[in-house]
Amino acid sequence: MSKKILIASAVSLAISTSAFAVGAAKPIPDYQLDNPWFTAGKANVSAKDYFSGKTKAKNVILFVGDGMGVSTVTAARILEGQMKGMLGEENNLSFDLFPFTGLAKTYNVDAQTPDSAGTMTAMMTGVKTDVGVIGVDEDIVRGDCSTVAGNELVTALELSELAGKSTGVISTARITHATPAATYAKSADRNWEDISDMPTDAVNAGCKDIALQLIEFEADMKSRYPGAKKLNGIEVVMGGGRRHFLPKDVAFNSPDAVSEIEGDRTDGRDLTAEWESVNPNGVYVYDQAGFDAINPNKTKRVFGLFNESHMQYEADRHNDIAGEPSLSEMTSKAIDVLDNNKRGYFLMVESGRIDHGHHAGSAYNALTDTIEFAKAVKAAVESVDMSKTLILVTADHSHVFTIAGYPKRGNPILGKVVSVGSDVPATAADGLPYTTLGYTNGRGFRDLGNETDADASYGLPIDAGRMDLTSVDTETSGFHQEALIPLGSETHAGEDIAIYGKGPGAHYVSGTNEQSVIFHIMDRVARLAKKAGAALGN
Amino acid sequence: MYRISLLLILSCVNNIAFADCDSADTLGAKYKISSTHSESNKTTIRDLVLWRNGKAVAHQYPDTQITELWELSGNGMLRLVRNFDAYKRGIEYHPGEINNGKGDKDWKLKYQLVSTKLMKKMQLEKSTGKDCRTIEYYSLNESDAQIKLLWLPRLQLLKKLQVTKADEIIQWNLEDIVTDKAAVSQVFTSRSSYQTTDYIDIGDNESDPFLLKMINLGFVEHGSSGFYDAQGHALDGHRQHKH
Repeated sequence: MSKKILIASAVSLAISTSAFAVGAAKPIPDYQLDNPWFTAGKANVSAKDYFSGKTKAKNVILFVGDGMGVSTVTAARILEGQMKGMLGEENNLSFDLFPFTGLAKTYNVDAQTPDSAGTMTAMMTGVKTDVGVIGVDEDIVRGDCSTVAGNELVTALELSELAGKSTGVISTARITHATPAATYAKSADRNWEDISDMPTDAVNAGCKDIALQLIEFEADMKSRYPGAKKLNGIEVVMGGGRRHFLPKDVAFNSPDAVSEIEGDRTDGRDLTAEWESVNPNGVYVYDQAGFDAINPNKTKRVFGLFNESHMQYEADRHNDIAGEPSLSEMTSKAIDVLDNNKRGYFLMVESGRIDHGHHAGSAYNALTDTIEFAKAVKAAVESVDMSKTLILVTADHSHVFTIAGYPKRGNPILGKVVSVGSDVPATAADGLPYTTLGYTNGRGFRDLGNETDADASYGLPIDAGRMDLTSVDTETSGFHQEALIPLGSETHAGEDIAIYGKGPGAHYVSGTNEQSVIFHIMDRVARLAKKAGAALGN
Repeated sequence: MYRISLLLILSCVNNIAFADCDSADTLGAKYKISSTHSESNKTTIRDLVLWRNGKAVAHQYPDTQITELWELSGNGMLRLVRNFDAYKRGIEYHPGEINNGKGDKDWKLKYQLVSTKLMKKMQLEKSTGKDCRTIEYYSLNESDAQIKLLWLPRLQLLKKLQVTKADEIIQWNLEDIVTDKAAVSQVFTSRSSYQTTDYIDIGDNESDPFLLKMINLGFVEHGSSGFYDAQGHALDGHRQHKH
């Protein structure tokens, strides 16, 4: 057979789209090369070339979606896409497009399924520890103040402070809650958020509540590191949890109060006033108007406590009494304040209420908060110099949240399962329709119509097991998914969570890791310990 | 039975000094609640103590050792702390976690146990006595229930409430009134020292034995609240979903 005939045959075969014929001239046929999936994937891989080899960053931003397991990311991605009019599955959350991804094993030293205290301590210090404790190693005895001394761990935020970087902590949970607390506090119990939460013997033994540790952070650090000349305290703190900073006295109520007495502190201290007195160049704000008035170019420090307890769910934010900023608004403002430092900055941003939406059995609230979390990541990517900034996005743990059944492409993610080729909901062996999303345990079904606060279900009894959803609109904000095992609160789950990386050093995000590796990536890329040591004269 | 109850009520009302008439915001009212099912002729009885202290009201259920503390916040919304007296622990429910998420602004219902809407629907039949001892007699005939209410207007307290339905008779009887301000204050201050947890946070506290019990069992149900809405229907926490 001549060469000419071979070529002719190949052309003929290509035209006839028989790609796998013997003797094809191209290893991959044109129709495959031109396939949108194929071209997008090729571009994706090519884009990663830029990042490999960049190993040093001046700035680090750690985004933590509390309870944002992989199924939550997937479902939120689909919901966001469907809200934009897409089928949904092809959509990408902002961090889906990050070039590097790895997995983290989330277990605590003493727990197969972890909590936020132990997991965030691992991420911030590089050391895994017990469930329920903050910034201390596994030699701690939970609730025993006397075991704190000698077991304290240094965090990435503290190293950044020592190195002279600006620092910030943002959360939609109480700023004294486990995840944000693990950036700055050491506590034998995550619940010691203010002095009234602590046993008397712990107070008498000299242990400080978490709120007080935040306010006295700079002073405490200076006493631990007398030679730290560049240390100047946390520049940006924004979140909820005002009650832990105010005295238990109605006279200290803010206009945003929902309790008769907003403050919980039994030591009579107004920590907001104390913060203002030691930070005369700072601004304390408690509502949207105060937040909006902050000029980030002129403001050196921000202390924002926007709710008595946790901030509102994103979907419920409009119901706040005095108004609250969104997570993306807080993120942008924080970066604008922090980036005035030539030495760079460390910022931790937590979406704290993804976890709460799941605990309440509300996929809607968990997913809409995840979508806002992704917007905050996008806002950061678009406002920072990505050649100098490492951004990591991860979760502390997962939830028992599943995407199940065989719904057809584009089926509403909050809807009932409609099979491929069908227009009516599929039925299970019990003859009843079922939703794509569900929980293995928790409070179970609730149909609260257009309610946007997942916690509205807490005043109602548990209703687990199968329900007849035939006439229920499961796509409403107030629908709570069915749960198999009846529990007062849906639980965390123990599977791995994802880590997403973008920017210099992001290529260290790969493989399956102990969660404590996250600290080491940040430390290595921003040389936190090295710079802190240098600043201390080592 | 009715006569005895009435005498008891009159007795406790007579014990109130006139000066205490202006203390409606600071008192305790002890109720005995009975429910008799006509078919079985079976009667169940339980106690409820209503405590008022300014903008806080407590509903104490001695049988279950649960005390629900309701606070009226500045925006008119109500906040609930469900205190588990046996454990000296409290679970906090924020306004959005109450009443199917609509929050709750019916302070009067918590304050006086009968909604003002219901009272407006009822007919005032007569009024006896003066000042503190004034008793108003109300009645209402609904299609599914007959309601009779004896009311102390100065104290804004129900003295007796009887709801007669086809299959059940429910009676509330005021048995005692506490006007000792120190005793009233103690009810609130003792519970303010309880360790409290937002319901939102119990899912993150599985290593706390009390909260683990909450996670595994849900909150301890205490049955019908005994409160009545504008239609005279008993309000309870067991709203059924629709299928």
